[in-house]
Amino acid sequence: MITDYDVCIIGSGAGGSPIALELASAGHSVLVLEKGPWFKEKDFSKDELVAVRRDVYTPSLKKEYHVLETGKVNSWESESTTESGRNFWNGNCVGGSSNFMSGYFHRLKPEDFHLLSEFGPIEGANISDWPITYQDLEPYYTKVEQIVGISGRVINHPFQEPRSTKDFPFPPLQENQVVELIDAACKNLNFHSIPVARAILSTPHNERSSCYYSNFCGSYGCNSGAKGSARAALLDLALKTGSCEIRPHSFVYHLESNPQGNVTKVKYYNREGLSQEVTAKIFVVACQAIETSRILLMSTGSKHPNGLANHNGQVGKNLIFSAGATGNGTIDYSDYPEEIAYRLKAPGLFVNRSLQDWYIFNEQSLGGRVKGGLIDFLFDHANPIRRANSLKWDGEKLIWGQSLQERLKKGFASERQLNFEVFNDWLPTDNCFVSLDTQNKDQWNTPVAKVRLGYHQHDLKIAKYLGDKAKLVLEEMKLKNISSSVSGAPPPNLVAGGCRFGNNPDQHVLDPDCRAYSASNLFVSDASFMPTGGSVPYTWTIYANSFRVADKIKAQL
Amino acid sequence: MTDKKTLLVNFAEGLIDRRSFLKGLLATTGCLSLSGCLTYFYQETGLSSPVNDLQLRNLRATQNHLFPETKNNLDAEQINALEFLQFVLHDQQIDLDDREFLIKGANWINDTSQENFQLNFYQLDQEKREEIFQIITQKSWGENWLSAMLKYIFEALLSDPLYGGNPNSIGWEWLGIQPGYPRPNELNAYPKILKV
Repeated sequence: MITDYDVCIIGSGAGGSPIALELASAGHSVLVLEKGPWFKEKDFSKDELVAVRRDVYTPSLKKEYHVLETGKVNSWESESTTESGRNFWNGNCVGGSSNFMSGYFHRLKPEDFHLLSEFGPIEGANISDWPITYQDLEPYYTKVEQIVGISGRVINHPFQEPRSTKDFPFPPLQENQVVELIDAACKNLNFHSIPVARAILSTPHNERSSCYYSNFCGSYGCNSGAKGSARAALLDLALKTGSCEIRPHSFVYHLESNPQGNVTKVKYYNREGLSQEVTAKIFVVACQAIETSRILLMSTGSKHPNGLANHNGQVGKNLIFSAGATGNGTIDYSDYPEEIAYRLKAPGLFVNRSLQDWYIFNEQSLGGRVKGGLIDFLFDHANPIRRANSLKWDGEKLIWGQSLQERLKKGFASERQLNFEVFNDWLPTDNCFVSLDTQNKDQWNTPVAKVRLGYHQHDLKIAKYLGDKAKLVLEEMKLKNISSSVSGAPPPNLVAGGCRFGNNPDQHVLDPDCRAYSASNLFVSDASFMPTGGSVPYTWTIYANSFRVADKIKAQL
Repeated sequence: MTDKKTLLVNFAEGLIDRRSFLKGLLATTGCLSLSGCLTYFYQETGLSSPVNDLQLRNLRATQNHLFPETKNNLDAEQINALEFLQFVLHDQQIDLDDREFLIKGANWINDTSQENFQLNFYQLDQEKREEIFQIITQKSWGENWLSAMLKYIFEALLSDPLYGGNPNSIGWEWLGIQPGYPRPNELNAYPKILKV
């Protein structure tokens, strides 16, 4: 059968781009459809108004939105994000949210691949082992280090995952003086302070420049190409093959399937709002977990009456986020000798320290040997408007006038915040899933995603335990105003699940190759495949798995 | 040269950024100040200002009390906070309810002033303005409104000078802030970036 393209990929972020590069490099014709615009490096500046304050990189909530269900069992309350203003989108543009990540890169641990076997069931949680092992994914983690470009330094520590190479291909990025204070505090506490790898180039690579330490990284597009976004690191290479085409402003609303169940074409609206069609041999959906489930559920057909690949009703189910805690402490420059204070003030240099001592640990009050997680340390993002806005509150009291002006001067000149973030498993449950909202439609008159955001209490207990450990480090550093918090509110940028892969067609949406059980020419390659999420940010694993899936597609073509 | 009508319509539709608009307007009309340009803008487009004269005076008085002239500090006038706020009131990307709330607050603070002192808020001296602030912050609308007003004062203080506030980077200099580079330019600034 003659088709327009060999492969059509829906979504241009971390899940789709490795496949675009690998297939185009192998000589296959590839089309990438992206709902959002195509920002080039010349379009990115370090403008807080654009990057942070006006939601330029995400859709207008008047035109596209979610309906979020929060609460608890038997008392869920729905609210659209148009009403609440709670933006649940991530970067919608070519390269997806990887354009705006901070690039803290961690591999999963071998135990993350078989959580159920390793730690047993937890009541109320749908924990499931992965059908592949760490060893299956390790070569692809290594490939990402080399192609996307990961800078770092490997040291021995109790939770160092097995590696096929000795060290990272790019040397570590320059670090702020604060890492010496963190290291010293951890040494006193007998904790293992570990250098964090970053998907940011410390030296030039593939016509991309190295990092110039702009001090405006997370939430901002990178205009040097140093950040390992899917756009800069992969799609630009894919385009150079001459076999890859990218169409921005292309909103896919339906994947059409034949009576056998296989996908025959995608239908999308272009920038002018006109419906277009494309045929291909293989289709890949990678729109981030929520949108992927939504598109599949919208794509009904004679063989798929409840949505594409939804033969067992599992599409959208077992959505997961990253559970965790956050905290911070104030570095008061006057507490340090002048030379040290000067170095602590230095903008742009990275913190790059984490603790993994409690990735797995024993604690009787939590049930013995349990899965824990990761603690990352970082400075507050620069964003001066946001920072000034936080200084207008004295506790719960709004301040103004000269007292506010003096507070601003003191806040900016004499201190900075050191933060920590805890990442631990968001256990999959029956109370966290995506469905189609039957009442609300977006600007294309298609049903919006309805997302139930229930969480498991166990997640909060683990997060609290790890948050308390992180606070010990800030206390040992003798920082001021130390605080921390644990919440069941999900971070929208750390989302996975909804199309689990596994060995059982009755229980899983995808087979171990991330191919739909009920549509053999359909693959899902964003984080939707993950039955459990591990306790680290997802991006490295999404990239690695997408490279793995690319090999499976190559074999099938 | 772009004709005035095209320039004004394009700006009203969000097709050009503020700096391009002001540059073009200066070139076509010779108006010399930001507020002068705004006056001209309303005259030429036939659009009505979202705020009347009384509301504008009260918004200005509120900003000047929130961020007053004090020794060694910047104040709301120096950072063009009022002009910046007017652009915010026209910004279609900001939720209409949020923009209307800013204007309603100007009415409510004046009502409170009339109830307590039988004068418009902008006519009060510093001491009485402070009394009104203390009264309205006991109400949820009052604290929320002053908080929102401060938010846009900070945007005027610390956003790129290209947007009309922070003239000659005085806000950044005052707080010792090193901006990120590259800074926005006429092609990639807001709201033009929305057209990519």
